[in-house]
Amino acid sequence: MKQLSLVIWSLLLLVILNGCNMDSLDFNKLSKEVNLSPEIVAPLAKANITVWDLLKSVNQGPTDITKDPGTGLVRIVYKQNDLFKYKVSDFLSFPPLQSFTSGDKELGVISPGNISVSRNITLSELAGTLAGGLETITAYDGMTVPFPANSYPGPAAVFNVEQSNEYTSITLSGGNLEVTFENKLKVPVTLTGSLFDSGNNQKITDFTFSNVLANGTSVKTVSLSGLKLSNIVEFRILTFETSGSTLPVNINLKDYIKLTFGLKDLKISSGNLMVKSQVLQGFSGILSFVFPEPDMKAYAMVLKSGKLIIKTTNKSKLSGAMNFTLKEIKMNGVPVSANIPFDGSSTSIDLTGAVVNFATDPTQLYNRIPYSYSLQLANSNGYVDYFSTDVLKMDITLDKLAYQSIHGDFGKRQVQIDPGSFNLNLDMLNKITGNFKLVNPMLEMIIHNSIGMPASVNMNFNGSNKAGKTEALNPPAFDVPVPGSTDSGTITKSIICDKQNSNVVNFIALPPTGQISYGGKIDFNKGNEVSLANPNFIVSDSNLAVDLALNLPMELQISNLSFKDTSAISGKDYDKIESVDLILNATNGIPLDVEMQLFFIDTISKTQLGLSKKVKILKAAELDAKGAIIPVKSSQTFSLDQSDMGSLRKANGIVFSGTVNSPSGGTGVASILSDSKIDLNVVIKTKVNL
Amino acid sequence: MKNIFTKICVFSLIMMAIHSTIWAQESTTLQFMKGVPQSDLQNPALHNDSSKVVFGLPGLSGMYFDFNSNFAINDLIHKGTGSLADSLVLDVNGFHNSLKATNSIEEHISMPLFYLGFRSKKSFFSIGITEKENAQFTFDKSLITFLKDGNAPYMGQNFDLGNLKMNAFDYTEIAFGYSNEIIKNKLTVGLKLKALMGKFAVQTERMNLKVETAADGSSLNLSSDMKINMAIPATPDYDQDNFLTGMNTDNFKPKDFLMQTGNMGMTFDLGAVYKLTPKITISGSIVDIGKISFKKDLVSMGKVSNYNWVGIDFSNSIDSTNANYIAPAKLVENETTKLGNSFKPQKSNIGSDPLEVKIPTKYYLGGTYQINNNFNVGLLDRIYKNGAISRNTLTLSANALLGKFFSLTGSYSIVGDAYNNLGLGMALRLGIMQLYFVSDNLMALSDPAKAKFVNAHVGMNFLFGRRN
Repeated sequence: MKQLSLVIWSLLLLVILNGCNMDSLDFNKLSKEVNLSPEIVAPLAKANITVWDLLKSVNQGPTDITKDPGTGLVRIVYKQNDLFKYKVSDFLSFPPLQSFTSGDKELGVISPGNISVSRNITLSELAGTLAGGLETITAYDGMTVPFPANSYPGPAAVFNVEQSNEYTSITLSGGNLEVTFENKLKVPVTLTGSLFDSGNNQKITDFTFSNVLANGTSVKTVSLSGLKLSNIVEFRILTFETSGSTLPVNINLKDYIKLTFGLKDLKISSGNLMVKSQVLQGFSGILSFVFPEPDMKAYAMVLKSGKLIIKTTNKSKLSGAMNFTLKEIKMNGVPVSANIPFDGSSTSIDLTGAVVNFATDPTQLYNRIPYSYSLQLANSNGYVDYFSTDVLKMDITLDKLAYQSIHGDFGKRQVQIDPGSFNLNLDMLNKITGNFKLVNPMLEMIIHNSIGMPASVNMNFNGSNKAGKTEALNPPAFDVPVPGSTDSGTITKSIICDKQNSNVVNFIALPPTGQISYGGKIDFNKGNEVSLANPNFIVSDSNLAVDLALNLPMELQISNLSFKDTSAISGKDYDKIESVDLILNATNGIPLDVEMQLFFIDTISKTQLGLSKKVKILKAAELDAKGAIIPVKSSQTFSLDQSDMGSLRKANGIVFSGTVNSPSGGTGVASILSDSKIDLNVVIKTKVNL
Repeated sequence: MKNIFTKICVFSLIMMAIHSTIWAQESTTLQFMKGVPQSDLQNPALHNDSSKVVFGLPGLSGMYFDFNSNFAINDLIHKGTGSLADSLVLDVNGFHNSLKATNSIEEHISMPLFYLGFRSKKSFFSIGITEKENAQFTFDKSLITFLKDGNAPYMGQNFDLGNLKMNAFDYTEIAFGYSNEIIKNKLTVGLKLKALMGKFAVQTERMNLKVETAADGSSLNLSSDMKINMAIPATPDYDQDNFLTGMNTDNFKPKDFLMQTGNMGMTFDLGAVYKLTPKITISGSIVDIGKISFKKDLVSMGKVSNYNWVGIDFSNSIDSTNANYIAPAKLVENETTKLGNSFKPQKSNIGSDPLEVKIPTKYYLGGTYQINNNFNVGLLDRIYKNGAISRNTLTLSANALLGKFFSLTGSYSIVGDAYNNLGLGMALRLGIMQLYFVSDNLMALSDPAKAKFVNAHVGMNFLFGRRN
């Protein structure tokens, strides 16, 4: 039994002890190191890329790339719009407000209209007033008998005339007095006497009517100029004489003679009178424009907007309205006019679209606008005092003036082009250094002008590269194109700076990757005779702008042109990679040799940790006798061995450095055609350590 | 003392069972083990126990688990050297060297739910219900060669990564056994009929992958030929392009799954035991000849794919202003999708082909030499055949019955090309109750990482009417 127990215990112990040996399955102790290094080869990428695709992909700046329709030659076109731009308002000012005053304008004489007052004197009054035998006639009243002859020698008998209610007193600067005698007696009469102003106690005029036949009329006219006249006048008959009749006539004491006192064409320079509705004509004046530039001469203008405000000041006791006319400011071909009460109020006229002619005054064919007006007088309420020296004043304002176009002589002006600078931002140029030359670069200045002023531009460009080297472009001076009329809009002209007329080859070869600065001046009307027949003109948004365009035909002469691009990496990410071969199988249709080398760097300590071998990754296409491109096949391997990978793993940056050469070691010209292709197949062969 | 001894035995069996549940192997040690009725699992004519009635309770009568492979974990993961002496290292090269042209990993689980056997004169009747599961993964060495070397050494070649196979099935077995001593003290024959009810199955008919690398590396051609048949309680789901996205198990009902009878099959066992001399007995058996025909929840996927990778073509990804421009990221995404779709089955590739699963057949031939009444030695050859997999096991055992209550068997097996397999079987009888444990590879317990296979059979029987 003991032996059995011993056996069982031994077995049990063996099992338990053995069963505890689990170390080989303690996966917590599993090392991260895996002894597995497969070598993998796989096609990584391929592409059939044209030059056009490549250039488009790297063109991230404001650069355009074009190709010649025929040859396919690639051109890099950089365009800087509005390199500088000047609005006409930057050097010509047209104030939006112009104010004028007419000054005191005298009203002058007025005309009250014709005045006529009559006095009938019956035979009975004559017989009762005049002595000399006429009193006997009363006995024949009603009888038909021969009318007795009679002669009254005087003294003067007074016959009052009815007072005029047109005035009380007036001073006349013109006009006529008509005294009319009508004989309603049955016998001829000869009459002398006078018209007497009792108000002013002065004789107005004498009159004599000789042998006026029965039912006849006689008129005497006298000038009233310079006469002061009241409305209390009387006829004074100095003599009365009749030859009577031989034949019997019916004697009627109610028969009469009639004297009429008539005032015609009166010109009243002052007085107290009732003013009748009438128009006073013949008023005019000039609006003279004043511009900030003293030599600014405006011939004509079309207003985009504007307002004419007229305010009158009336110092007389007249009332009425002014009919104001600006015959050289026309709306739709019709002169601008307005009826303005001269009660002190203002009147506004919209001048939108108005056409203004400043050139009608022969003494000054610019900056002047004539105006005229008449006065429509209203009937006065009762008698008013009037003096011809009473004045009326107008304040005229042209406000909110905005012009659509102006013709004129804007004078000789010089505008300094504000110094400025710009950056080409050509990605490709930013990444390359070395010697390269474009055989036929062109810099184009594109001028856009809508200012009707001849001008010449003189400017320069100075470019600098990153190393600080500078080069001046030295472009030619050029004239600005001028539009033919205000309807011509903006016209454009290009000025080409090429290797014949400028330093553009060296300028581009810098390359100007730093800054391009510019400056210069514009001279307007320099050497240009401006006249009414050959005016300057502008429209409201006239401006002068210059765009800059670089036109770089890709005909390259490159010698060891190097390009670099740095990318941040985390070298630790490649710790599983022992080595890498990139096999580049290419058919290159571009006549450029490309070599590539990688630099592994520590960007913090700015140290280079290692570098790969330089490998020609693309072999230049060849040219046949006619210059046609013959693609070249090549298979190149870009290798990173264990040493390179060791450097890569320590790095935090990788520099892709390449050099490019045009054919014949950089002395030949490589024409880059848009449809030249690279057929590229990249295979990666890598040994990874898992 | 006896009490303590009993406790120690019980404890040791439990401890070993715990280990064995984790690391176990097909047991050839069991066949000649004295006093353990489970020998009839390998030969229906062989009964090493004389009890009149044997009864096994669900979950207690036994649990079997084995795990086999052509390689040991140690071949892949082992202690390092030098600075890595205290660590485990993944040794792909060593693993690769240990592989054969075709390699497999296979496991079996068998769990008796009920067992009843009884003896009547010279006959023995039994009935057993057992849940069985088998899984197998097969791969070719070339797959690991490719992972180890990559494809660079094979530029200009069409490298065959070989065939991958993933097979698995689960079924319930209802076995009816009968044996009879035809010639008294000479010949006993036995038969076992088994009705099988399949639960699920996955069978890889073919799955081949080839990688052809152009001589200049400019192309990589991936080709595959796949056919997988399944009987699983799930339905395929598709995306809008009719690509398979997964298997839908929303309608899965565990009860229906366990009790299903739609996938019926049948196998049988044949066995014979012949007593050549009073001391020499020979025996032979064939176990599990038959198959299961799965007819329910069938899903089959077959697709021949080819994908030629020539690198991502960036021709239209250079100029972003081009009307045909496609962003590089989108290009990569498209290419990845295209690659995935090339190998992803579509609705048209999905069918419901019939599925038949052959149950692995085991052939046993052996004999014992009786040293004395309580001790014999045995020699057993076992051939395991599962499709293309065939494995031979030769076991030499010494079997003792100590004190009529403790069976002890020690064994040495050559399993395939593994020669270091010491086995042990123990059974302890406590009245009507018998506890047993058997394993063919006790060395796996000492260093499981070096084991290419492990197995265990552990359980408890209730024995009635034992004669000695």
